[in-house]
Amino acid sequence: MNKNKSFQHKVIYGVCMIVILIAVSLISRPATSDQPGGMLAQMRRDYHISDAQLGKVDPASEAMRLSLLGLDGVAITFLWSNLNEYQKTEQYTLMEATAKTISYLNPHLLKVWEFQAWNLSYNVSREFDNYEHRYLWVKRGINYHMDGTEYNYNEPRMMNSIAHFFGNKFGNADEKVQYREIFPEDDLFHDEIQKHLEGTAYSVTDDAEGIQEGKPDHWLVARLWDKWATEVVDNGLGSIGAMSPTIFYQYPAKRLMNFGEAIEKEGHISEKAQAAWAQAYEEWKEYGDHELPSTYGIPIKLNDSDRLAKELKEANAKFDEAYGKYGQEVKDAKIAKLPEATREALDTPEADRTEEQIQLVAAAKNNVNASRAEIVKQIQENANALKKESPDSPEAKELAQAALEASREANRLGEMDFLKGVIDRQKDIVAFNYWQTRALSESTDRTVEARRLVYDAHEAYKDANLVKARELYEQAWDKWAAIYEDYPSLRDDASADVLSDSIKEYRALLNQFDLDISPNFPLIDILRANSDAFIEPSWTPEDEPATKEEMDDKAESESEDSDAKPMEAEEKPAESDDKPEPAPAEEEASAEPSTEKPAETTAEPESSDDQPADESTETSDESSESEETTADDS
Amino acid sequence: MGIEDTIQPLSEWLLPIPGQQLGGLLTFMIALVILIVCGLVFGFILSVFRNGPFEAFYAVFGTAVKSVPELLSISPRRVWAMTWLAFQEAIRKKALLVFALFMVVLLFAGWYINPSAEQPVRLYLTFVLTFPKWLVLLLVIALSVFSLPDDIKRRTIYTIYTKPVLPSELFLGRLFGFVGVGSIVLFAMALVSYIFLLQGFNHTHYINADDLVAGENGTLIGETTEAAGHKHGVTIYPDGNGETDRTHEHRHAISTNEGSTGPEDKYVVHGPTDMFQARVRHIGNVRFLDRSGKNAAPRGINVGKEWEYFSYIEGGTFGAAIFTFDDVNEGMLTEVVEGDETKQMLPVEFNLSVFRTYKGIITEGIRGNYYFKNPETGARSIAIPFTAKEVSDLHYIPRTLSNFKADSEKPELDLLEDLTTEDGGRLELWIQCVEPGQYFGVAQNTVYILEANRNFTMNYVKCYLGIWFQVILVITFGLVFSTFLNGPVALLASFLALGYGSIAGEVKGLARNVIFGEKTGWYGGGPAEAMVRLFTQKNIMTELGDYFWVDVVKGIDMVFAFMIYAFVNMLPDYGMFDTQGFVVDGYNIPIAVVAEQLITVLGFLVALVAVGYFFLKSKEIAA
Repeated sequence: MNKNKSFQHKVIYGVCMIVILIAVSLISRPATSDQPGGMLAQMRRDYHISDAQLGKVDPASEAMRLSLLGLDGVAITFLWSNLNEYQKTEQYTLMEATAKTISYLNPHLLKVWEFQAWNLSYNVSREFDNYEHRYLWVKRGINYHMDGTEYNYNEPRMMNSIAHFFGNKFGNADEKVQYREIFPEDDLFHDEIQKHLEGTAYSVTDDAEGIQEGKPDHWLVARLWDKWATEVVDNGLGSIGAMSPTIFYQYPAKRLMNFGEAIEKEGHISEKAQAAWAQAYEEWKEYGDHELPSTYGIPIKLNDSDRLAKELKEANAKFDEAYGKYGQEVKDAKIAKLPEATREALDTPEADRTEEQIQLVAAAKNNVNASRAEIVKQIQENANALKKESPDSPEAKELAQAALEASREANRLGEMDFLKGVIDRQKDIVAFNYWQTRALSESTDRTVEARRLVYDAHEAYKDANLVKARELYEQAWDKWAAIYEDYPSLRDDASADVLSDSIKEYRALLNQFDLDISPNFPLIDILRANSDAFIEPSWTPEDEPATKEEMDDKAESESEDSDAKPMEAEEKPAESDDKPEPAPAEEEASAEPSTEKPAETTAEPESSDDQPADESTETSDESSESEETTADDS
Repeated sequence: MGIEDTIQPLSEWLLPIPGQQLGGLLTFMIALVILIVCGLVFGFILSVFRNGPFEAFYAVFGTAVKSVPELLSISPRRVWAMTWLAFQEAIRKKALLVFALFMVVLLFAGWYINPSAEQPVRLYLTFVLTFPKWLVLLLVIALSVFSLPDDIKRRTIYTIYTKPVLPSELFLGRLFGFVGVGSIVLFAMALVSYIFLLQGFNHTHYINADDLVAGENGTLIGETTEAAGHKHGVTIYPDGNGETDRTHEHRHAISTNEGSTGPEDKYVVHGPTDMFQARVRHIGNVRFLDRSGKNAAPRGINVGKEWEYFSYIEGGTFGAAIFTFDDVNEGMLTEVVEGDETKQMLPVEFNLSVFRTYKGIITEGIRGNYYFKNPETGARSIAIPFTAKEVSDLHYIPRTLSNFKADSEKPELDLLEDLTTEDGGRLELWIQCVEPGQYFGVAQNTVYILEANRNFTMNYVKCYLGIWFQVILVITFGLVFSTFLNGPVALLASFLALGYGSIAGEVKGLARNVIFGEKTGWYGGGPAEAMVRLFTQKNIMTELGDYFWVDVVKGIDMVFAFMIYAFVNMLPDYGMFDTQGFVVDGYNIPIAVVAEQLITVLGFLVALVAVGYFFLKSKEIAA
């Protein structure tokens, strides 16, 4: 009996196992060329998560993973701890090999690639004293990161991160001068990069050519990676996840600007730089026309802001014209409800107000203005009142109709306001207007000439040719004054900071002639804003009357000479279109006065999340450098 | 055992140093006594349960006494027969399959090891010295722990017990048999790994003669083609031969191809050389002076690095690192050709670390200087300037150095005659950093006189010898565990012993610190004190006060510490057998290290065989 029962059990278990096995094999049947395969295979295909779709199927990686029989998590933990130990005890070759093994075991986890690449490029490199060794480890980190793209096709975030390494690590590190010298000569590395770019139409030597023929510049290599990343997103092959599209799409144009800036600093103030800026300007405009998804679900274009501002201005004027009197009614009603003291303060002419009254007026001012909704409400109330009095009068109907129209118009304007607000916030994130103006200004002959003069003056100063240096500097200041007059928004930014070093040098030069800069010096505010301990120049009798007029004359004659005048004139209205709401933008700008490149800083958290902590060292090094220079120069 | 550990000469290692160490010999004796006492007590208790206290005494005494004649009557012939049996058993259990597994992994190892890494030699050596070791250790653990319990379980052991075979012979037979199998597998792996190592690096480059440009003194300079992820700079001398620079830890020799057909094959680049090294270090003793040039201490400034190996000297001050080398003699000088003359020079290798507190000039290294001083007479040479490099930096010091003192009679000093003491041949090397605000990192073993560059193969063999010692110990432990535990438990015990072996160094250090009252960073006392604190709710930083009971509690803890110290020496510290650090870093494994390993293994073998014998004996009684 018992034996029978046990036999029955075995049969039942056996049947169950067979049924489950059949089900499992059906579900997980692999796809073949003519069969779509089981459910799992189909789902893998639909969600693009089959190994072959995610990236290269590497036998080394697969063998390692399979041989661990599911213990790869344990192995990774163990290896990660080993890696930390190797790093601590300065065995970097073993550390790098361990990082590779970890990513073999976990090839599709993007953060691992990014973290360890960062670790090699940023943390390991700085452990070396010799800059050549540092370069080598930056390179090894980038190589490691680029390997990640082999295992992860179409990952724009990874490409973007690689571009960041190429651009910022080579271009902004303490050793940037040396890195920028070594990079163009490093043929082996160029070959490596080219291997990784094989899936694209780009050639490192042709499409990223820097100053020298056939030698790439790292900023432009970064641009290639960024361009590839944006293409991948535009073609719908990859996604940037939670990354801000406004930040993401700015890079291709931005790298060109970085390139232009870098080569000009090195003294290559040539057509190449000018062309880079001009192209950057065009691409920046295209970027402004690129449709970007926003967090509100509405697609936006950054260039729409100007158009919207214009339309809003006109529509607001029309609205005021049509319904202004109702607005006044609302305002009067509100004023009537105010306390006695406030009303009295409002009635008092501005010049005669006491301190207390000024405060009361300031508090009440915003409250008494009529909003569009209140105006609509007022019209509606008026219409209702009229209807009550004489229900069939045509005035009442007319007023009711006006209330309806005003409501529609108010809604439309409200939507436009909202959209403009969304766009403007995105524009502020990347300092859109600033970079547009900058690119435009840098691509003119006048700015190129101004830069060349400053550079030549600096060279002359280094050669102790003080007279010539002074002469060149003074020619340059005239040009710069004119540039800043045309593009006032450039005054507060990074390029002005660079220029301030030259002004400091000029002041030191004047000191050698027993002179000082005039208090009327046109760029004195730049110097003042960028000096830690600024000493005001003293007034001398000859400074006072003549200089201002002279300056104006000079500025005028300068702007007449300039070829770029018509373009600038065209551009000016666009600039002034921004003016209706200057306050918030200015507030934001003043909140971060020391921000060198607003766009870069806002972009930073995106890519530096979870990075090992050494970045701060890097930054503090840089800041200490600038402190030193300032101290020396002053 | 890493290169950073201090290596004691054999005599020093064996003998006690008051206040510092007990010495190998004394530790062994103490452990032996504890073992005998524990064995007797344990045997007695076991026997009391079986036979009652009166007979138990006789049984234990009898077993102990009988062991002596039994030991003397061990027959090598019977041991050999047992060995052969164990050997066959291992083969029957397909132990050799491990070798096949090893070969499979080796076949694919190239996938994972990147020959274009910055230091490929390091990667390859780490692999070939680690992977076979763990494979063989796992194999021998599995072999040794299951053998005896299986025999007992299947009762096949009785077929042997019925023969005139002593338990000690049975134990020794298994030991030798398994050691034999382990050795064969290990030897084969070592050999194949060595071939893999040499083959892995074999690569060559090409030179296009048209791309070479004229350099100094009639040489031609240029670059090779890329191979294994690197290129070399090339110098061809007027005689047609040349060499490459050292990149990726090797260089190549170049010769002219007589039958060349074009510029591509005009020069032949030979295989890589200088890859594997076995440098012999003559290590000194370091002490540090603070910024005022006083207060000599064994460690310098801590700049806050997590790895405390290097300690630092401040630049632009009187701070210095002073190495005192003993027994400096003429044999250490090498002949170096300088221009047309051959000079005798002392090769000194620097491996300094640099720590900058400000950026300084990026393109230049941090400058320092060094000089030599006679610790007895005070005579010193003038300072020789140098720039710190982060790679091994070999300096050839001329035998004759200018005198620091303006002494017209003796403007020059001889390194051996004047700067080295007559008694003991002591020579001091002073290293200073000259740049204010910058630091040099120095450690005990980072600056040394380079005595010679020995044969790498011999070093490789010595490293594998260390692995072999581990194999022997692991087998012995496995066998001992299997005499009184069943298979799986013995396996677990073996793994624990092996795992403990890799942290033994730290545990020993802890116990030693407690006993010798060194700085421990260990707060809160031992188990007794911890319990008192727990119940009185006093945290570990609170003083317990000056009471009698506190002394008692601390006394109890001291006993615990002694017990731990004794216990930690019962299990081997496998760290001392790991000499791969030397091979990977290109240093010769000192013979003292091998001798210490050998003595340790022998000590453990004697004790473990005895333990195994008595356990088997007790099994026999049970049977």
